[in-house]
Amino acid sequence: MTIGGWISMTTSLAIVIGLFGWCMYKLVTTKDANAEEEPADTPKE
Amino acid sequence: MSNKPRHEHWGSQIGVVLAVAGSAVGLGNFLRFPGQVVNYGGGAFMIPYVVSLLIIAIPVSMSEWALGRYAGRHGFHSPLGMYYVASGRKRSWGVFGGLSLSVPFIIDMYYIFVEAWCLYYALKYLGGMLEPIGLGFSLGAGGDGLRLGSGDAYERFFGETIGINANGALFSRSGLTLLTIVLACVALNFLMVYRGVSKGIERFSKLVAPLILLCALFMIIRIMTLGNPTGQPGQSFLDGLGFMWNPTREAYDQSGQVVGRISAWTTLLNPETWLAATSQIFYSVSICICAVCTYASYVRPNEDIALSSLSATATNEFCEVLLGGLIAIPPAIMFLGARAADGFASSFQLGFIVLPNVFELMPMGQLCGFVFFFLLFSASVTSSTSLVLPVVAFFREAFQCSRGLSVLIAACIHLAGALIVIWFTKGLSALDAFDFWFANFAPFFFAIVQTSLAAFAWGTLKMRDEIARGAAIKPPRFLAFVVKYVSLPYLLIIAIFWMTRNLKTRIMSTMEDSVAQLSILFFIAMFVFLFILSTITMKRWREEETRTPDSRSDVEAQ
Repeated sequence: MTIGGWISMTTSLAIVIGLFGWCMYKLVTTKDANAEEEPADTPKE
Repeated sequence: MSNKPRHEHWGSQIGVVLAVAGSAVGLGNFLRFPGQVVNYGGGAFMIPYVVSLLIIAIPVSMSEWALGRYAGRHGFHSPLGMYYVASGRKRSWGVFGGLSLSVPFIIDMYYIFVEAWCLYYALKYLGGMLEPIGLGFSLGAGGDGLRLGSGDAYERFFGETIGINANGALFSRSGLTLLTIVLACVALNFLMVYRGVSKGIERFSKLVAPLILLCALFMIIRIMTLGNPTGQPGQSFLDGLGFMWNPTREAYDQSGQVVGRISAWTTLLNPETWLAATSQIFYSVSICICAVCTYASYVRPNEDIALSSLSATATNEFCEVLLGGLIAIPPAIMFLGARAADGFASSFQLGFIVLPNVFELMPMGQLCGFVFFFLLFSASVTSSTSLVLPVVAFFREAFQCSRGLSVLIAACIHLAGALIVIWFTKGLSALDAFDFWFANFAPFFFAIVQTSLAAFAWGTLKMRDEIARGAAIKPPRFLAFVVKYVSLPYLLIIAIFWMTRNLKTRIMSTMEDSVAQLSILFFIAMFVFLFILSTITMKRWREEETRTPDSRSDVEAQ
């Protein structure tokens, strides 16, 4: 693999892993609005 | 309106994120993306890809989430209702919403067929019926029975499995197994939708998402620990990565010999690279095919959709770039060398012909084959389910019927359309027509319509307010500007370029292909059906609103 290949691969992976990691962190640490409401229910037919 | 599913919601934020990500993660991530990267400049392809992610995928996806949640708060869950309510109850926009349902409906008719191929292959590997006999990609003349031994044999096996040689081939004794699997897949998809978003789709997504990750990790570890399995120069794991990621490309002739080099600048200045990158983002993130907005319509009124939207997109990109980038191309280069590159152009060729050759040569190949096709199957089930839900939601609103009846109606129409794809398998001409018009053309068209709706009829300020509702991190002010003045013009340019490149050739080939013409007739019938149903439904809504102007106030107050 060339230096250009390494740069493009690591940059691409850094972007997606960074974005994914940040989102997962926020999802886990942010209070879920659902928890404050009633539990999920089935549709009222 | 007593039959409207007003109180149905996702159970948790992580549940809806996994469901939307599951909807987006599919064959496109594991087969189409690596093929596109290789064919459009390797590492250089990632520049237009990331640009498309930033100016199309993230803003358009957020606007779609906002549209869905806004409509859900007003008691609508189908795209018809979404367009209708967001445009201020204008029937002209509502009709577009109704017609946009043709996209998930028709894609699903052939997608479940492909999903069944994946399960069929997984079962074959599990049962040891595709066992390796140690022959290479182009060596030997095939195997005996199902003991396959060369590229030709795998190609022949794939063709026979899907009935590529004659129409109606699957309705013979040899096709019964695949037909049974197709029916099982249809039943599984509609059963999950019947069980509802929380008890069906969300539970299944929570089960399948870790499974997909585990399967992908298993494959990656296996591939990374192979070293240079053939001992040939240029066929190590790093060479495989280089084949995919090097921005300066080597051009090969048909025998696999290097005949020249293509620089990264040449790749970037080629408009086709930008078109391919945008198409890949579209195909991958599943925007504007009604799935995301329908899922979002079941989100609770004060949930953080900015974070959910970004998380779902990020999960999809993680699966695509990291997992998809490592699983398919590197092992193909490691075992088959550059001569395998011819098979990277088509997702089906890569997945069902090239990779089985690789598994044959790979230590633990049979297990890897099972894990890989089970991974593809799991990823495609979550995608196809998301295509069923908008249709079922539409029939519930149109016919004011129960979910069970709506599922039944959708399943019957679905099977009628799927029959065209499953019967006309010769050269996969029906599947190709369905795929071209509804997985390539229609999403671009409806993306322009939907973004125009958000930008003009609904208004970008309302869109931004909806995204900000319940959001821990407020969406940037420039989001509205990006959707209106960047995403929409970019979509228009790409769509015009795509049409000038593809439409004329496709129309000419359709004139000579009776199956393609039959498919077009089916699409027209579908449009007429959706148009009539949408018009009648909106007329009824207007009458109800005239009679009881506050009929939706309880929902709007949420």
